Amino acid sequence: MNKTKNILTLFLIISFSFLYPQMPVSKQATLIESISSAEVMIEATGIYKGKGKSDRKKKKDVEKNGMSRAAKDAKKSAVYFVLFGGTDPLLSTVDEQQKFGAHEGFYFNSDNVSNYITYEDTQVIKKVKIDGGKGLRLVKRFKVNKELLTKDLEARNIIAARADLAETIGNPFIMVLPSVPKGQSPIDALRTNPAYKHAAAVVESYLTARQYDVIVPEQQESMESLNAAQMDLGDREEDYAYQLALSIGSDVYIEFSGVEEDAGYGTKKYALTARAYETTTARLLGTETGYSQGRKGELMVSVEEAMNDAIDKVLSRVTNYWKKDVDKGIQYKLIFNLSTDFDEDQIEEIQFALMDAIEEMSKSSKENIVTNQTVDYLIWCDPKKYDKSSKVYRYVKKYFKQEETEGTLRKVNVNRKMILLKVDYE
Amino acid sequence: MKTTKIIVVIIFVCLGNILSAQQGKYVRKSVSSLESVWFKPGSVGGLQFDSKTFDKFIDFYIEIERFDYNTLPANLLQEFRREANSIEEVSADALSEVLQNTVTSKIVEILNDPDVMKERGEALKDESAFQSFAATKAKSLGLTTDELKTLMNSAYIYLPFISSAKKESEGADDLSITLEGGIIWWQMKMAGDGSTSVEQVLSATTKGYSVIDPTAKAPITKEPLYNKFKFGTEEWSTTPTQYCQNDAMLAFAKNLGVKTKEIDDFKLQAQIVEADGKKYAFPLGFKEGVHLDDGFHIVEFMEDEQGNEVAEQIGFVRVAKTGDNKSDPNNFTYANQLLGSKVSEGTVVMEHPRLGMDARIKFGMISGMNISRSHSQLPNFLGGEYIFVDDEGATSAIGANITFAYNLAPIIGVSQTFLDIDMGFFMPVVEINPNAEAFPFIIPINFGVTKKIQFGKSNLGVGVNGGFDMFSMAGTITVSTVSSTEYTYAYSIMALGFGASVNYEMLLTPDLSFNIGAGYRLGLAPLSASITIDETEYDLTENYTTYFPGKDFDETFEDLNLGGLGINLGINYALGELPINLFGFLDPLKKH
Repeated sequence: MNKTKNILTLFLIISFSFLYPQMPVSKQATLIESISSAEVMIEATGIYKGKGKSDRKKKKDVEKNGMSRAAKDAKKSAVYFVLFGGTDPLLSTVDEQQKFGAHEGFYFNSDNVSNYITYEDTQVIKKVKIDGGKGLRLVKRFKVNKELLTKDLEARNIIAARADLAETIGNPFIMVLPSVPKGQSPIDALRTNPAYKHAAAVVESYLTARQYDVIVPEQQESMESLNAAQMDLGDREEDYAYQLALSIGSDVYIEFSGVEEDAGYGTKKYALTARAYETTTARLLGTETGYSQGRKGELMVSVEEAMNDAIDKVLSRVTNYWKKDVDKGIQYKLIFNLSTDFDEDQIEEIQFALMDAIEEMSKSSKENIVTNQTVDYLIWCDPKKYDKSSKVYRYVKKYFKQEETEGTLRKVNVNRKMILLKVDYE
Repeated sequence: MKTTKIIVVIIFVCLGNILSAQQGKYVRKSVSSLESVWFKPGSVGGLQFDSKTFDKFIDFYIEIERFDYNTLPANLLQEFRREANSIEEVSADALSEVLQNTVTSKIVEILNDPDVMKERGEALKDESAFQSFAATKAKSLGLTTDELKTLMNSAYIYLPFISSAKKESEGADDLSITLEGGIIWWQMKMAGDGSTSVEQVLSATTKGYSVIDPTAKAPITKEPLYNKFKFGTEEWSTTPTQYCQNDAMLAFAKNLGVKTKEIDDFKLQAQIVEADGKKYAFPLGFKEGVHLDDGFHIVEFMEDEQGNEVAEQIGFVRVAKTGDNKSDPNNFTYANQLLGSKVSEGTVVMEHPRLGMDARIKFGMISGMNISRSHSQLPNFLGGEYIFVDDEGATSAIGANITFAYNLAPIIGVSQTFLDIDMGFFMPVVEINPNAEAFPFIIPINFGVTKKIQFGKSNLGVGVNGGFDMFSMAGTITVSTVSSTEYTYAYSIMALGFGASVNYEMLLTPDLSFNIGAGYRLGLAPLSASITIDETEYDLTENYTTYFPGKDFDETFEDLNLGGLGINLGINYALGELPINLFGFLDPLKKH
């Protein structure tokens, strides 16, 4: 009897899942606009295929249920797009997608999916009968609350929670600067160009809404702490944005540039490119161009619209970079400047001592430059042991002293991400 | 509607404007009038054209609520006229060029006016545009490039033309005027770089006709009938010729109005936003000039085997309540579905413009009438011959009836209520005296009111009417006295009649209905009788005893009954064009 019950239950579950599959049928959607740091406007397609034995019954079913079921499918497709679609979905890794599989029913449950929809067009963009009337396809616009969806994914441990990441390796510090021609100051550009100032404010608003630590680099004085003369930064020595980011210890800096162009009918549209760099390596983490609608005047509206379009994607790439860093450890840039008073043997001895210290202390490291005067390393340390750059400095100094070389290790500049040291001849 | 009618094959080509944004969204058009009529060479011969009244009618029927109007400055219009008049061979293409050179720059200026943009801009926006960052956070409802493109390409210019205006008369009591012509519509197109071009989108022709008796007087007041022309609450003094011309103009302009509404770009359309059984709501209303009982096709888009989207008419609805969207944009218009299966929200309704007037043709039989043999006797001086052979005379008649029914619903607010004018032609079923060589017939002329009660695609119409019945016998007779003389005669008896009828109608297409019905007509005793012999009329009413010695008019005709019980079947057709003006004076009173 029990066996029969179980078989019947299983049969019902299977039938139910066939009748009411949770995943959307269409999975077609387009991102229309990032409205704010929390919401996106999606144009989604919903498909409903009529049920019944005969064509007539299928058509009748489409007439009766097509509109409501296809609208539900469109809602699911909108949420699906945020989760899986586009260039920067919320579920960006295979692991996250696999974890999501177990919770699929929850997210695509008809009732629950509506929680993420904050707005639905009352009218359709398009409604078309397909398969000779046995199916219906409609296109509608929805506003999806990406923030709520993200929190739900974090709550179910499908994606790493931002708070957990912050606890492990600290919140990344991000700085926002306009891109300027070499030799010019980005701070001056921020001060003199209202469009740039507004664009920076938009990015900062996104960052603070997502609880990143934002560094506002508008104090010219910060620049003064940079002693470029003591560092060998290769061909980037004239890149103020890079130098500034490095000097004030941001993990990531976002550089942007914008241009206004004619869009016809007397309107102008704003195109804005945002690039996120890893400060310590100047590695490009993500770049995206956003476009505003063409409009007459209202430059600030266009700037913000274009930035909204670009920054959301760039930030999701920054987040991914940050997640990866959790596994590798905290990253620091370590630069040693060796005095020219050492001879070749002494230099080698000092270099080996420094390298050993690095090997001993870091989880992994990358050698950038090793010359007679400069040793430039990227290191990834255990965040539990080396959550501050000063701890790294102390360890290296201690280790170096124990090696009893001819030199003395001294600090030039230590900030969150960069440890600039010098080795003087005793 | 079992047979699905494909109206447009490739939607991407023909209805691009529908698919470019929200399906089935009507975009208001900006219309400029050239305040002129183009008379084709030699078109107005000997007729003093009443341009002022013509403009009035054109303004009323063409410049309708769905359009925004631009007033072009007089100097530009003069320039247009001057350049147009200097064209050697006037054609629509040549006029396009003149338009491009004269008025387009002003239209662009009007379209760029910030107030115009603000007023029209909101209507151009999609529903979701009000949820965008620009609208919500930036509080900006400024027009985007796409919206400006729509705005700048929604300007139209029209010019009515007369190809022939003829006045004809066959005597002092006969005057007819025929107007032939049409309307040309141009669309002004503007590219992103600001360059403009003018493209002809429609050239439709129509006709207006009026015939009057200039000497006619009102039966009761004895005032001349054609010294005042009424249009809604307005009236103006006219000569009979001007009246006749105005009458033809009204019919002409009204037809052009329908032809204008029939242009695809101008057809009102909307998505169904509420569906309750076969009752639907859609966001159109008084602002766009929708009226009670207006018809809309239900249009659905289908994907064919090649993946093209094609529009199909799958049903028909009639407005049951017009939405007052002037004060509240969410006050929807409600319509009942008459043809086709139920549809859901999101389906598109598209206007089916008509005149608001039906033509009904019915064939039938009247029985229970009484036209006895004594009623058919000719006067003594024609030999006193009886036209009917049998003593019983005629108790039934067969024939046909044509009714023009003006829908009063937009005026009185009661759906499917018609003001009827009808005229019939019936032949009594009777054996005719071969000597008289007569052809007897009855012509009823009536005014009436009909109310149709709709249920699905069927309706039951109950009507009452009253009017005149004219029993007539026309023929030739040879009278033998000294010598045989042949006379041609027409003998008429006029009587009042009142009737009531019940009709069942079934809608076959949005325009065509099948009709079957029955009615009773109470024929009263005759008011008058006369006979015309070789074009000389003799009044028999007062001098009956003279022509019928020993007989009295009242006594003879007291049992005449031209009414009876009638049964009929026929068709009802919703008119899109009618060359004559019937009840046109009521059009300005439409408010529901």
